[in-house]
Amino acid sequence: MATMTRCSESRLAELIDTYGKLVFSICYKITGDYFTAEDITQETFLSVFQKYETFDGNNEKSWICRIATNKSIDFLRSAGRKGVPTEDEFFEGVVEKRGSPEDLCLEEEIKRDLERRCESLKPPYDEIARDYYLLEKSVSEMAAERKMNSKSIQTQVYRARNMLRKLYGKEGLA
Amino acid sequence: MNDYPTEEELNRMIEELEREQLYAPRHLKEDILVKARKIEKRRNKNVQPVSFRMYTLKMAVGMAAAVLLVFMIPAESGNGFEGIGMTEGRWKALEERNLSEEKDRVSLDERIMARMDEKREEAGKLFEKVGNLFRREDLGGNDYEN
Repeated sequence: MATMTRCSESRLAELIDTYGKLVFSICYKITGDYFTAEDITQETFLSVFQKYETFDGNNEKSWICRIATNKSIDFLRSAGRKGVPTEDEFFEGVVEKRGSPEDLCLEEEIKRDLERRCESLKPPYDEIARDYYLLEKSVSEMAAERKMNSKSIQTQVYRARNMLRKLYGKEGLA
Repeated sequence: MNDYPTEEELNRMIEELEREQLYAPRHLKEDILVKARKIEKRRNKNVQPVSFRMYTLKMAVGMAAAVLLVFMIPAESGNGFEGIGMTEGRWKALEERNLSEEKDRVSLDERIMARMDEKREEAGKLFEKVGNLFRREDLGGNDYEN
């Protein structure tokens, strides 16, 4: 059954470039949570990286999206999340029409809300959260700017993320 | 929702999402690649089974050496446990050594006893002399006991 060779780092990078946005969108759509979608997207691609040899070579996109979908559903099951859509709702009409004026306004509102929450964190996590989530800088970029170790920045990002998660969780926002 | 989507449902969802504007955080790629590198490192190391085997081998050799030493090195004489598994020659040598030590001990005991007897005799003579000093007949009078 296994026809593929091991997945190299360069191959993984290609897959992320090709399917990263789709996978994240799937995870976000199913879980409704930005941070969870991030985690599951990472897990999806790491599973792809580890199990690439078992892939039969047919319909790569479907295979990767299947992993993402199943992981997202597993997360919802284990977390016991409320508001899990029913079978009827899930794949019918759940996909909103993005790009509409309402959605653009909503995105702006979400960004402003995120900015406000980032600022409410204690330093240095406020700046870290702003750079990472709002300005979407990478860890290596942030490390270079601050002249710090990447691992230290990664730790700070992780902590900022947990703080933001708690803030969102407290107010009942997904 | 308890079941995973069917292939048809999944493809429909993918098509619908692709029609819309897709989004992913920019830092996601780097985060994934960093973790993938760690996994790759662990994969390439492949030391775990080998090191466990080496460890087991070392332990076995150490235990065997310890058991061998227990048999090879004779214990101190007098504690009732001699080295097991020694050759006949070594047994004889040990026995002779024990015997000669025994002889030495006996002769030493005898010498000590003889010396003590001498000292006891000397002490006896000394007491007698002292006793004689207090006797009346020596002083020219009656025996004080009477």
